[in-house]
Amino acid sequence: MLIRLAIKSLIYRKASILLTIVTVSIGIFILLGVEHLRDQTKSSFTNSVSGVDLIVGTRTSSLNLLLYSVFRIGDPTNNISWQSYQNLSQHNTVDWAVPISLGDSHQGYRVIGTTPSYFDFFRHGNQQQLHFRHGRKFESVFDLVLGASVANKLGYKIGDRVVLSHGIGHTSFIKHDKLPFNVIGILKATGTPVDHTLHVSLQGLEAVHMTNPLAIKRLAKTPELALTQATYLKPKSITAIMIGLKSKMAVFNFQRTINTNKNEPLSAILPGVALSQLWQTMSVFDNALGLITLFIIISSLLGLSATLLSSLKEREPEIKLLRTIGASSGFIFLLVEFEAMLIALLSALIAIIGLNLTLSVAQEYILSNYGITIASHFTSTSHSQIIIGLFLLTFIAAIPPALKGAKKCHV
Amino acid sequence: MSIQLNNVEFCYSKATQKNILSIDSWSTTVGDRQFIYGPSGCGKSTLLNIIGGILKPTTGTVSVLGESLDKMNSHQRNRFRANNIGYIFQQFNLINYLNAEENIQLAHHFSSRKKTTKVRDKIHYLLSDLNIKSDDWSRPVGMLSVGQQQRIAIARAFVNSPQLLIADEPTSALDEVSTNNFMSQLSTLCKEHHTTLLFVSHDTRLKHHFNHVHEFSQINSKKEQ
Repeated sequence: MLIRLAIKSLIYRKASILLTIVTVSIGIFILLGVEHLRDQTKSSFTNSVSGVDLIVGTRTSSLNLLLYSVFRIGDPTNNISWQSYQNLSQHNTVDWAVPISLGDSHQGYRVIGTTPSYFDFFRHGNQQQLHFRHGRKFESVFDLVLGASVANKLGYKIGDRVVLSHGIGHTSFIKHDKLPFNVIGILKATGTPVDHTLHVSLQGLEAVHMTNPLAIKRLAKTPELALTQATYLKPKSITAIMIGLKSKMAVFNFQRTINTNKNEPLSAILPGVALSQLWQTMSVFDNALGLITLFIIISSLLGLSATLLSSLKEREPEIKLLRTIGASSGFIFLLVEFEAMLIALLSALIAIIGLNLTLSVAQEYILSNYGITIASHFTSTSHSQIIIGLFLLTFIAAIPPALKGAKKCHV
Repeated sequence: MSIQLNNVEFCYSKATQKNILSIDSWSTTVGDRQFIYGPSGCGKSTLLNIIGGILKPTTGTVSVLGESLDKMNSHQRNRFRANNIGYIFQQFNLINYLNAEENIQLAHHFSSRKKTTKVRDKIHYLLSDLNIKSDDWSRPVGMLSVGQQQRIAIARAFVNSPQLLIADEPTSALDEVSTNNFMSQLSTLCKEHHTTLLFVSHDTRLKHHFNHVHEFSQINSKKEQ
């Protein structure tokens, strides 16, 4: 009877109730949306690299090494020698080692020099490999593989010629325009910094940095020069090394071995640990965002409370009648509370459906523009705690009107 | 004795000490049909609310159907009212957004009578007895005429077979024909159910439907201050 009474009474007052439902569902939409986005951004962020046991660079802080090697943010403080790379890659606990070289850019996008095995060993997300949308990995010195966003934004396709700039930044005065690169592959979007990167061979980078004009001229005549024939373009130094170990158990031992290397000042970091450290430093903004959404939901629930409170005046005869025919004040209290809960339930449903629709539409846009992978399926089960908290808040917000209703025509 | 009041006094605000009611002694017997008349605002409704257990007297004892209302707590009085007393008011007798059947069911819901399917039969019987067409049973009562609404209010009041029926100016919104209909149907049902009727109005033309008639000022010995 309570349920039927509450539902019919809400339908009877549908104009003001609908408005309240809209207000509350916008609040819930923002709360769940931001929560989902925070969640997904965090996992997208912490999943930018996986399957790499150690990243080795010159002696620097772990955060700095992580930022420039994985996120292409900031500048490497120093390079490490090719000799160190060779020593490490031949170490008996090392399964694979991929060198990377940074320092050049193309229209603001960073260029990374590496070996073809980068595309085999690099993992992101849940041990996901890099996949090619078009083309293949590089085989010749001047081959170029584009990240998804780079190809999208700059409109490049297979076969296009691309000139690299020296240094990083949108405008560079030194262009390696004598030796253009040839787009040979385009990667699928990953939602990681890989999407914003241009990949070339180490030998290619070595070639464009040559100062001897004769050698450059000679190379310009052989744009199809295969990597195997370019042994003379062996790099002298690289920026960092990504290392996979044969046994994960050896990771701390091996890290210590590298950090205490006597030949060259090196530091090795565990990407997972460094990533979570980095995320910690951003928790202030994360918490601020959470606080803002909390205030939004509280204000919309206060609106609900106000609507119910003001409706009590017009409902006075109804409450008086209910009390006269035997309803207890507890019944009136529950009636008002139940109405509030129904409003919250309807609003939550609308918000969840709306959010799912919005996410499925916005997913592509967010990935291509912000490089964040967002799961389009938002399920209430993954956020059940929020929903439960929401109903608790609704209950609390409805206490003043419910009490006032119960106290009306007190007996 | 159906109703027994002794030394009952009532004032809304203890600060002013201004009594609305002051009744030395008043009683009715079972099956009586009592008519109390007086101008509006003289405290008739307050008396009805005290007898119905909605208000508690400031002093004095109230015994209804053999139970001392002044000794009950509010929960007990709610229960007692739901089980034993039927109410009909001048207006707002029914909940607008519920239909006739639901309105009557609601009164049954609050009583401690067994919730059986028989109650539906009883509701249908009462509604047809009061000349409400079955088409109108499931329409929101807000869409029905005032006369129909007051007759549904009678059905609502009788669904729990109350021993006491309190009617507070139930006919003042009705025209003469509807009033006569209403009064005869109310009287018939009271006789059928052996219900004591306590009817309050300012309209003395209704006197002839009752076997006891009082002017309110005779009952209430309130001293003007």
